[in-house]
Amino acid sequence: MTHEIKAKSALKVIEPEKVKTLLMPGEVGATIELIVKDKDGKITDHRGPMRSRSFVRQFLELLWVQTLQVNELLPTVSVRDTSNTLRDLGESGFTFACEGGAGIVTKGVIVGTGNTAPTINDYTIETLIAHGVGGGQLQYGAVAFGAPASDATTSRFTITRDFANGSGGAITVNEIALYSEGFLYNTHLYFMTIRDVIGGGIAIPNGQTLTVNYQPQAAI
Amino acid sequence: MLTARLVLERFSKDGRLLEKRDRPSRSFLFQFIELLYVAHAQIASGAPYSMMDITSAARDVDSQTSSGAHYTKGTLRIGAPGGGSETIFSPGNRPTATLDYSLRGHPGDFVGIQAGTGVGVVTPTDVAMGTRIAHGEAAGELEYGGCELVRMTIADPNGQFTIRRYFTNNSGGGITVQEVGIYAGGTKYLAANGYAYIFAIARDLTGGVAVADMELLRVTYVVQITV
Repeated sequence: MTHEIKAKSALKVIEPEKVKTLLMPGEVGATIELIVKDKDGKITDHRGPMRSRSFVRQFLELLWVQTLQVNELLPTVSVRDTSNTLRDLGESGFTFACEGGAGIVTKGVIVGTGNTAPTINDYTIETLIAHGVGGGQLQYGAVAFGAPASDATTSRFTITRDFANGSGGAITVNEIALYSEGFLYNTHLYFMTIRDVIGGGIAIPNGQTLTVNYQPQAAI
Repeated sequence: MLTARLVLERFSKDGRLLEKRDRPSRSFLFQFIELLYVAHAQIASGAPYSMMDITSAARDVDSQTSSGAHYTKGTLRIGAPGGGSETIFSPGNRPTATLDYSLRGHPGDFVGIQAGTGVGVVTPTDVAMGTRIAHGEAAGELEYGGCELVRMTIADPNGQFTIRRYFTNNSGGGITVQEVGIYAGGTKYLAANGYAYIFAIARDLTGGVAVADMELLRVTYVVQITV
């Protein structure tokens, strides 16, 4: 009696963004998920979750300010804000704040059309998409947060923002960033802590909405 | 992406390097993500976030600060003085530049890098060292130096800073350090005062570093980002 093996071997390359475990043990990073929906809520495009590649230097510098508890009267660190100005900072209750309200483009998840690869020294999004309903503009919703959760290997929370396209034409988002606060004596300042370029961009047809989910994570 | 290198160095009493181990840290804990969440989301005192402190008690924390020009907040504090010297945390209600209003303190050795003898496998939801080594000179104790943050450097595509602490063994006998970790502050605002709590944000097993009497152990976390 002979047995025929019917199973066929196959080798498939899995794209990095399709791999479920996105962070290696010991990494603290973020994932990005992009969802485009039409006016009826039907999903028309869905990317990720995929690895966010790019904490930029301001993330490390804000972490330094807060973990060291840099004194506001004798600040020892200057950090470049989103207007390209070096700012002295002290520890505060506002460090990392990114709860931007609807229409606010200075705080929270920000989108743009630039596609230059990120560097650690990037301090602002390359080409901001403004808030509005004019040509090339998107309507920024309020930033929302998902509470922290943990499984056997990974801890995470979620930062979410919707961008509605009422501009009359399609808009392609090529870059996504996170703007966060820093503070020094009665002065709120804004810093870019993450910037990612989306390969090929993601198109938002007129009348549709892009939801961006940033998920900061730590893996063991 | 952010990672950390863990460097363990053992020195003789006259400062000679006897042993060095350098390897990736694997173990940022749930509480680190929770403290980042509290900071990013600007949690209000009226609806605080509850998380487990190093005593396994649920503690409310927030991002609230009082109105005025000064909005200091002890959240995420790692830098600390040595031994039992008090570490001051602002719970968020410091309306003037002077350090005279509703501040909370913890012994410095409970803030920053920690050492222990526990060997239990690290999980994301560990809330404390397995078995923390106390500060002191009695049997089984180590003297905790200050926890320093130094050497912030940025050179594209990398950036890093260093967190380090010296532990001195004056206990009269050998001590094997099996685990190290990092404790950080989190605070809760109240109108007339406030609270500060300690949370474990990292824990790593060492494989066992035997520190003889009179020797020093230097524990260094090098926190790095790479674009």
